[in-house]
Order: sequence, then structure tokens, then C-alpha cells
Amino acid sequence: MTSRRIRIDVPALTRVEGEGSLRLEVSNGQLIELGLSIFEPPRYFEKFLEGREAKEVVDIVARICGICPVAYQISALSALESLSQQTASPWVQQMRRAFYCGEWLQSHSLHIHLLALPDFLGFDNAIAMAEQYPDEVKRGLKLQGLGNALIRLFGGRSVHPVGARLGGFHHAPAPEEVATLVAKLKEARDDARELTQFCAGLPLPDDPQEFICVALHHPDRYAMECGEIRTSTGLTLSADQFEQHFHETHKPDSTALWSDLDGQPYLTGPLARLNINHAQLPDFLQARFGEIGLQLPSNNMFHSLIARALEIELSLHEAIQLLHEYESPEASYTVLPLESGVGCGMSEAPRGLLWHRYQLDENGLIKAARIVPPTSQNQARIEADLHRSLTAFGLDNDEDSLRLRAEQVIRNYDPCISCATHFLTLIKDEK
Amino acid sequence: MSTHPPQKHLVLAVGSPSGDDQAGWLVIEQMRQMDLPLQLQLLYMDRPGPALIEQMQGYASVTLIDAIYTEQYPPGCWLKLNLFQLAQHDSCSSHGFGLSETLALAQQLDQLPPKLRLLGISICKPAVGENASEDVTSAAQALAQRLAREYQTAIGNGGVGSLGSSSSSS
Repeated sequence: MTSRRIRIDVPALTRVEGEGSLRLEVSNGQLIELGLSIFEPPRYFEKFLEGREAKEVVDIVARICGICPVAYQISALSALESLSQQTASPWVQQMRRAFYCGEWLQSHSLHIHLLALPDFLGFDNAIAMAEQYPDEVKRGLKLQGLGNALIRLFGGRSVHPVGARLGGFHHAPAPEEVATLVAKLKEARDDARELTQFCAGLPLPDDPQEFICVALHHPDRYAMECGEIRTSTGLTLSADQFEQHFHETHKPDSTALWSDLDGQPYLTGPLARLNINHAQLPDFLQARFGEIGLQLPSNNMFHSLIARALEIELSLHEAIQLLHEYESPEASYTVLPLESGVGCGMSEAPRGLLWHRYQLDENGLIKAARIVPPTSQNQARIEADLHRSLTAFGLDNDEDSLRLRAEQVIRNYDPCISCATHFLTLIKDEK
Repeated sequence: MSTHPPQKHLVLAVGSPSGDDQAGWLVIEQMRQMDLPLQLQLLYMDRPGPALIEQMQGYASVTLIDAIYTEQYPPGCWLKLNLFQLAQHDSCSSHGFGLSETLALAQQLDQLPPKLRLLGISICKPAVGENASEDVTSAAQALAQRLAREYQTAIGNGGVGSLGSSSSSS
């Protein structure tokens, strides 16, 4: 028997958002060390929010991420508005969902085309892939552009939008502007359908495994901007109950916090959503499962790619439904007086569950804030997946193959490391 | 006899609110206070990633300004770059798909504007929550004046072919 010892260091993970690294050591066919390290500097956003007025929060949290600012805004608004006796108008609630559709559309399109597809088509990056697959990349950029346009419609700009506010939006879009965009969204439905079929036709690895799914669920629709937590273990939780079951801990080598559900790693994100909520997708998407041969629930993390494509189709469909008979509202927001106390809120960011909690004092200032982003929730699951998937893949594979498979596994979660890096408490040591 | 609509031109700055990474934005803010031809549009974006490709469509020329971190020049110099040089510099884009990757993708897809000029302003390492340094602010003001003069002359003469003759200044 020959002894084989290999060590793989990926000092900077590519095609993920933010900066992280991976360390693997295999000895005599056993994985003896595996470490996913996140080393982007923590950004202390929760501490920045203390002492701020409640109305400022929505613009500050939009700065946490350039890819999913809408999710941060909607989760924050949901948490803060829970401290009011009144609620935002039905128009506002519908338009927030349309706003959110823009974010799913742009983020998923970016991930599929520029970050994930090169893995499955055999290229180092999207630029090299574009030479052989220009139409596919253009399709991705078109869909991403439409998502950005939808965010701009309500947010004023697509990166770090500024249009949302407590009780609604600063301004309502003009009907002509909405009609123009709806026409473009309708035209893109064929592109989205082709994308799903394209993704389903890729040689995705067959890699079944057991994992717990966590996603928001809404009784009337596929949960996106609101809902209650459902888990594949049978829990149903309100935002206020989140901390009773979900816990965060620090780990060495990581500036992000690691989450568990009652001590277990869990999955949040598109595949968890699809597994829990697929029955609520519209009929044409139910039919799509049969067309592409997708069995749900799926226990193959590589089906995350298909889940994102299906959610692109859903986002287009939902945005069209919400906007095709759009009329200017009497008011684009409702003044919502907030009471002091603790408010919790959550929504489904493109990468998964995003939970916020704010403590508001009697003067209307933020006394404490806590934000739990999806990537930090998925970290324990990613490590567990890497252990299992690399062993199943075969630790006797060469280093390049192991490295590529490890990166593919990580990219299945579309981690946004920039979002994940934060600390709960800041200890200031002055001497 | 057909008449063509006037060609549009764009000066677009990318950056972030972090310290000297605002360099390009400061150029745009300065130019917005100037009397410029109507065909010239000014825009700044916060780390747009591949959305930049869509933003550049429809313009006869685009001047793209970004902050660059380089040890070759002190903070406050502006440089004319080509795509290769851009890729060599440490771009201040925070995400994996930065400016040089975006432009390389646009080139691969044949979606670069007919005329593209890249200008970099050398900066210190950007710091969250800080204002731009005096050196970078002064460079942005000087570059804004230079660009304004060039566009006033070039568009007034019916084209922008003469733009971008200098390679560096401080």
C-alpha cells in the first residue's frame, strides 16, 4: 500500500463575493484537515447603527452589500415596522415584492452566468467562457440588467438603492416608466425558460446527501419578502422566535459568525426554498419540473443552479403580475409611528434567510441591532458538505480535480462573504 | 437627405464612498458644476460590476474613471490606461468581478463602446468612512477641468477623436 499525503491551499477563493480561503489536507485516503476561512475585515455594521434614528437604518443597511441591498432594506423595514400599530399599505407590500424580484433576478443571473457556469462548461472564468458561449453570457447580462432596472425603478439606483423608507417608498414610479419595463420583462420570459432548460441539461454531478432545509414560508405565495420560518425538521417559527432555535458562535480563522439550528448545520437559500415551497410555484413552473426531470425535494446541492434558474423565471412572472396593471398610488408611503421595544423581521435574500432585530429606545433611537445574514448561516453546512462531497468524489483524485470540486461545492451556496463578516459585540480595549 | 441625431458621449466614474476610492466621483461632481455640451452625459456608479456593460451601450465615446492603487505613482496622479495596464493595477473594486474583468468580458462580447478611454487616479489605500485625501481631491479637480475643456472643444468641433492625448499629469 502506498502512502499519499496532499495538502491543498486555495488562498483566495475566486468567483465568490468577498474574500475567503480553503485549506484541505488528505493523508492516506482520509481527510484530516478542512478549513473554510473567512478573512474579510468585519465591518461592524450593527455597531454603526446604534444611536441612529430608526429612519436612517434602511439606507445604512443598504450599504452592507452591493449584490443584495434590497434584502437588507426589506428585512430591516419588516423588523422596525413590527414596532408600529399600523401597517404599510397593500400597494407598498406589493411593490416591495416587485422590488425584491429585481434583486433575485439580478443576483441569480450574475451567479449562474459569471460565477457558476464556467465550472460546468470547463472554463476558468466567464471571460474565457464568453468566447465559446457568447449568446448564453449575453442572455445572462440581459436578465441581470432587467433585475437592475427593476431595482432602479423603486430604489432610484441598482446598487445601494435609496428609494425605500419606513412605511413605503419615497416616490412611486411613473406609470409610463413601469409599462416600458413590464414590456421588457415579458420579452425576457423566453430567455428565462431557455436558461432553466440549459441549466437542467448540464452534466451536474449526482451528489445526494442529507441536510436540513430552512426557508420562509407564506400561506399565499412563494415566500420572498415575508413569511414565517419553516424547517424540514418540522419547525414553524415567527421572526421573534428565531433566537430560540438558531445560535451563532465564533470560530478561529473566521471573521464571520457560524450558525446552527438546535446544534445542527442547515441549508438556507434557493434549494432550501424550492424544497420547502415548490408546491406554491405557478402552474407553468410546476410543469417545468416534469419537462426538465427535476424531482423535489432534492438532496443534491448541485441542483441549486437549477433552483436559481427557476427563481429567475418566478421573479419575471411575479414582477409582471404585480406591475402589469400598475397605477400611481394616492400615497407612496404611510407614516408609521414606531413604539419603543424590540422588533424582529426577515426576508429571503437571494442567498437565503436574512434576519434582523432592532431595539428601539423611547427617543426613537436604535439601542441595539443584530443582523444574521445567509452566508454565515450556511458556513457550517458548507464545511459539512465539503467533508462529505470530497470523500464521495474520491480523495485519490489529483489535486487540481479536488480543488475544482471543492470550489464547485462552495459556489453552490453562492456565498457572499462580504455580508457574512460582522461581529455581534465590539469590545473596545483602551489603555 | 437624412439627418442623424447628435452622438452622445459619456464620462462615467466608478468607485465607492470609502476615502480616496471616491476619486472618480469627485471628478463627476466637479464637472456637474461646469457648462458642458448637452451631448455629454456624466454619471458615477458604485462598484457596478458587469452592469457597467449595459450602462456603456449607445454612446459614441465613453471616458471611464476609476481609482487605482499603485506604488508606481504617488497619490493624486491621473493616468491614461489601456485594458492590459488596468488589469495590472490593483483596482479598488471590492467584488470578484471588478472593472478590468468587466471590460475584458465586454471586449470578448464585442460590446465595448466605439471609443473607450480609461483614466485612473492614483490613490492611497481606501478607508471606510473617511473623506478623500487633499492630493486626490486636487487631482480630481484638475482632471475635471481638463476633461471639460477637451469635451467643449471636441464636441464643438464635431467629434471626440482628439481626446486623451496626454498620458499623465499630477
